[in-house]
This record gives sequence, C-alpha cells and structure tokens, in this order.
Amino acid sequence: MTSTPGHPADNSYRYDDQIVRMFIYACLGFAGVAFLAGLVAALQLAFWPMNMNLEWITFGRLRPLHTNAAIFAFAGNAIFAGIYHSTQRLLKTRMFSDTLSRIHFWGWQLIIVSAAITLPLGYSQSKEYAELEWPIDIAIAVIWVVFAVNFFATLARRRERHMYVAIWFYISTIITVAVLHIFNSIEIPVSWTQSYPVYAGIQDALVQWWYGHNAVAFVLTTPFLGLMYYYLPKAANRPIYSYRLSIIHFWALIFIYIWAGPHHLLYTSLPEWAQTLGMVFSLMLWAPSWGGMINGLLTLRGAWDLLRTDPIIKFMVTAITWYGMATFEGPLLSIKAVSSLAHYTDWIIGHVHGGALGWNGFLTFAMIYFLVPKLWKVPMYSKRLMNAHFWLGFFGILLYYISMWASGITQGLMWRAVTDDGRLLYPDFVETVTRIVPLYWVRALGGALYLSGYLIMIYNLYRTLKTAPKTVDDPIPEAGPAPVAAAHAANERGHRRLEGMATVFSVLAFFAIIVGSVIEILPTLNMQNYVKVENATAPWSPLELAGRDIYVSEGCYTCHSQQIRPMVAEALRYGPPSTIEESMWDRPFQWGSKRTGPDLARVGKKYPDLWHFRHMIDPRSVTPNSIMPNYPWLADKKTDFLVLRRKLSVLKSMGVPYDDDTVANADIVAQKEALAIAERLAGEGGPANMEHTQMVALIAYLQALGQKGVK
Amino acid sequence: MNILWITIPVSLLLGLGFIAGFIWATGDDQWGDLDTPAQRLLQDQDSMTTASTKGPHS
Repeated sequence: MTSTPGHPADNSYRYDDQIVRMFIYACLGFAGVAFLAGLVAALQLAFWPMNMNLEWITFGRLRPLHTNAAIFAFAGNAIFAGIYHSTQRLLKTRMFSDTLSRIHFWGWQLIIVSAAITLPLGYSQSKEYAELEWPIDIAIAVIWVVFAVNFFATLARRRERHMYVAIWFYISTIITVAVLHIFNSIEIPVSWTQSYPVYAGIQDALVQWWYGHNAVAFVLTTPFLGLMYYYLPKAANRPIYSYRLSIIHFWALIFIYIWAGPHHLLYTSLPEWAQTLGMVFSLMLWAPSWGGMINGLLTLRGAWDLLRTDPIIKFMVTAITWYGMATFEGPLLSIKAVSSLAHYTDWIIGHVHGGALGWNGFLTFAMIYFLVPKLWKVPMYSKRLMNAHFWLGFFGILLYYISMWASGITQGLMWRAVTDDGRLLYPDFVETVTRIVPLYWVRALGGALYLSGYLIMIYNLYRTLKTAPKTVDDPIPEAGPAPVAAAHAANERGHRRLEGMATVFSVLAFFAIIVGSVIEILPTLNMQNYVKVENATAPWSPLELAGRDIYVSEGCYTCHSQQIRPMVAEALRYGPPSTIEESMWDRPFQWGSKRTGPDLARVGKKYPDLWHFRHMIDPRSVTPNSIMPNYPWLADKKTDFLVLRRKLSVLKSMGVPYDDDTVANADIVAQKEALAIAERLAGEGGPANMEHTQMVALIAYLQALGQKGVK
Repeated sequence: MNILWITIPVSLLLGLGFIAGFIWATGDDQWGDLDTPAQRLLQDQDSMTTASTKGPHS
C-alpha cells in the first residue's frame, strides 16, 4: 500500500481506503458491545438478578453505556466509515490529511474506551446521550473539530464542483453536532470526575432536550440519509428517484429539526408556549422525513425484483421502511394528547429502537456488506448467511417493537385508569409492572435474535476476509480535473500545506479559548431570574446534595422520573403537579424520561428512613414483586464529605444561595445531618453507625424530594 | 427561562447559517442541473476498477 502521497503534483490521486477499513473494524467491534449491553439491560428488566449483584453493570449504569455505545460507537463509527468512503469519491479527491484522519480515528476510539470505563464506574452527568464527564466532553469537541477541519479542507480541494446531496447532509451533521455538543456541555468542574452544568432546572431540561432530540436528528438521521443517498443508488445501480426532492427535503429537514426538542417535555413545568412550539415543529417534520423515505423507496421502482435476489437491497429497503415508520410515529407521539399516554412508558423505547435497530442498524449492515467486497477485493463468503442475518434481525426488531408497543400502551392505560368514585384502579405501581414483565421477556428475545444476526454477520465477514488478499492498494481513479479551488502551482504545495496546518491550529486554539471563556463568563449571566423571589425554594442541604450526586451517579433517572404532570391520575398517584421552582437548583435536572419505577418528585417523608434502607438493600422486602435491583454497596461505600466544600462553592458561584458559613463547613454540616439520620435508622430498628455511608446521604436526598417547594 | 436567550439565538444563527448555505449553493449553481448529479454518482471509475467478482450484486 502506498501510504504517503496523498496529493501528488501531477493531479493524479489515490483514495485513502485504509481509514474506511479501520472505521469499519471499529464499528463492527463496538456494535457487539452495544448490542450485548442492550440485551443484558433488557434481561435485567425481565429478571432483576441479571445484574449479578455487580454495581458496574446495574441497569442505571449499564443503560447509559448501552445508549452511548449504540449511538456514538456503533452508529458513529459507521457514519465515519461511510463519510470517509463516499466523500472522497463524491468530491474526487483524497481526504485532506491522512494525519487528521488518523487522529480522528484513534481519538474517537479513545473517547469510546474512556466512556466504557467511566460510565460503569458511575462517572455520569446523567444528561441523556451526554452522560460523559467534562474531560471527555472536551476531547469529543476537539476530535470533532479535527474531523470538521479534515472534511472542510477536503471540500475546499475537491475536483467535482457540484456537491452531491449526500455531502450536504454530511455538512449539516458536522456543523450542528458541534453546536449542540458544545452548548449542552457547558459545565463547571468540581473534580476531574465530576462537574455541574451551568444550567439548572427547566433551563437544563430545555438545553438537554434541545441537544438530546438533535442527537437523534443529526447523528442518527442526517448522516444516515446522506449514506442512503450514496449507497442506495450505488447498490441498486440506478439514480435516486428525484434529485429535486432530495434537495427540498434536506433543507426542510434541517430547518425544522432543531426546534423539535421540547416535545420531550410535554406536560412538564416547561412553559406551555415552548411545549407547543416543540409540538408544532415536530408535526411539520413529518413531511421532510417522508420526503426522504419516499425518495429512497421510489429509487427502486422498476427494480423491486432486487428484493428477492440481493440481501443488500433487502437490508436497505427495510431500513428505509423503518425510517418511515419511526418518523411517522415521532410526530404522532409529539401530539400532547398522545404524549400524555405514551410519555414515560415503553412505547418510547419501542419507538427509538424501531429507528435504531431498523433504520440505523440495517442501513449500516447494508453499507458494510456493500463495502467489504470492494474495500478488500473479495466476494462475500456466503449470501445465505447474509439472508439469515436479515431475517433474524428483522424478526428481532418486530418482536422488540410489538412487545414495547403492547407494554407501553398497557402500562400507560393502567396508570391513568380511575374508578367511577375517583380513585386509582391500580394504586400499587408494582401492579402495572408485573403485568408487563412477560413482554420484557419477549423484548429480550427480540434483542437476542438481533444479536445472533450480528454474530452471523461477524462469522460471514471473518470467512470473507480470511480469503482476502493480504494487502490492497488504494484505488487510483482516472486523473480528473484540477481541484476546483486550487489554482496553485506545484511549487506552492509546501506553503499550501502550512496554510492547512495553520487552519487546524487556529481552529483548535480558538476552540480552547472559547471553552475557557464560556465556562468563566456564562455563570454570571445565568442568574436565577426565571423564578420570582417570593417563590424561591431552599437549596439542597450539604448532605442532601451528596445524596443527590449518588442518585445521579447510580443512574436512578433511567427508571424514575421527578416530574409530576398536571393530570388527574398523576395527582392521585403522586401529588400536585411539579412546579418550576421545585427544580430551580437542580444541576443537572432529574426529570427523567422513563418510569420503570414510580415518579419520585414527592417521595420525601412518604416512608420512614428504615423503609428506604430496607428498600435499597432488597426492594422486595418492602415492595413484593419489585423488579428494582438490590443496592447493597450503598451501605458499605463511604460518603466523601470533604469534597462538599468544593461542590457548594461551585454551586454558590453559579448563584445558589448558600451562605459562606455553610460552604466553609459543608462537610461538618453534612456529617451532623448524617448522624441524625443514622440515629433515627438505628432507633427504628435498623443497623447502627451508618452515618458515613452513601446510604444515609441518599436517604437524606430522597426524604427531601418534594419537601422544598410545597407550602 | 433565560436560557431561551441562548437557545433561540443559537437555533436562529444555525438556521441563518443554513439559509446562507442555501443561498450560496443556489448562486453557485449547485442546483442548476437536477438530472446529471444523480446519474454521475453511478459513473465513478472506482466502482468499475474495484467491483467484486462474484459478490451478490456483481
């Protein structure tokens, strides 16, 4: 393989396909991690002891690992493989810099590995799909900028003046992900492993879901549409149905998507106009989304027979169909009335997996089956195994989707069922859980089928690559025209190169500056003026704060919401609706998005301390049939009291009204609080001398929930 | 809600950036020909020189 001459002066060039092969390997490897983590998580919901009493893989920590692995490791590496492969061909040039390509590759894998280490250890910001702590956040931003520089510099020296629609999708992806990631990740470090976001309460909620929904939009949708627009015509060997439609739906899609985030916050204490804004834009999204689906499917008009003979086309058509279904269901779920039933239930889980397993997964598999024979110059080992993979995956998704629909709608209806005399029909939350546990087994079976399809693909690829030639030269396309932008003579190359590097360095330097500045400046702008002074609630006490950080770190939000919606059944079950004031000091906010267990917004003082103690040691000792895992380690692990001084002073710098005395003596104040709870625990018949444990801090927090804002 | 002072301008800026991109692309005649680009995709030399021999879609 000729490795160095990226851009020889005689205007001939080679594609860098090695980087594509590297990203494909990474994608395949991390797909296994993502799918396995998902399957184990699914089994834990069906059968709680499946965490094997290991804190590191207990659901609250495993779920973020699963979502991050699926989105950023599996889908992320797939996107990069496809972008690096198709961009070079669409622009008729080699990537701008092999070095930047490799920094991008290894940097991204390093980020993934650090996520795989830190998330199980409980280092989490608890913001969904943005759980990683601040040093990793900075690394993500830097590597993303490296990718952007490499991509845009490639764009600048393209030989093909016209930018095919796939390139537009890639551009919007790169720009928007950078903006979203940076603004959602503005946080003040407490230590190397912990930080507090500058946003609090509804602000944090709004920024998080502005980010969270667009992680779906600009990581799982726009880049994959770009891949569809390249690989579907290639695989079917016919042009896209309507190039005009692709342009129209591209611009419409990116304009509208960015506003849709608040549909994750319907019926919360977010102001109603913001909710309506999110809902209306979500409904509008239906049109451009289906524009993409229709364009994809109609590309095959007159060639539908390929469905019978070509597994790649089968994967692609199924992927596009799932895209159509998921983007029909999304706007539907964004209608407030539908959301009132579906929110917090498994319906949402089914919805995202229709998109993730069907659209992202199947399109990725199609792309890999398409690319491997080309990149390694060897035919696939077995078409039958490709078909087997297809059908296992297909039925896996169906089982997953249907079981989660049934589960979500069943549980949603049970939650809201009220008798004629105005009482809850199912007052015990656990009743609504045991009813759907059988469906959790069906879902796990679906996941297992999907995983086994993946394993068949790995075997098939292993057999394929075993027969591949040892080295494959980078392909040399016929010499094309000169780069569009470059009217530069050959002797200017060194200078050009320097220019290129200068761009890299200035962008990186700019980024370093902006991160620092923003972290310094924003907190002062970010005063808590969205709540009237007379309504302000008291901040968390030092021990409650320590407990809250444990709640965050254990990922309790993955199963418990803290947001009571203004509906009769919710008021009967949990109490009055949550208010803006009640979460005004919450960094990060803990509203949650799923109720595998009950809402906890007003759980404080509902049960004695000992109840909580026994519940954390073994939930079934107080709630028979509960599916929550045991948390015995909370009774062994010590609370870090000393760090509370730093935590309080960081929070105070962001406007939380702690007085100087409390900040200076935060550890002593907390220890006093802990002692009081420990004595109460012992007095109620629990174990003695628990004051140093995380358990006591967590109990302090749980008992304070809903107690700050209620008159 | 003062976070809206950040998210709405950022959203608008992003949108304006996209509008600028759209206007540039139109001015650059990126959409002047809506038939050839779809066809040209299928004609790059790379796919001819590297096509697999017995693959499922050869």
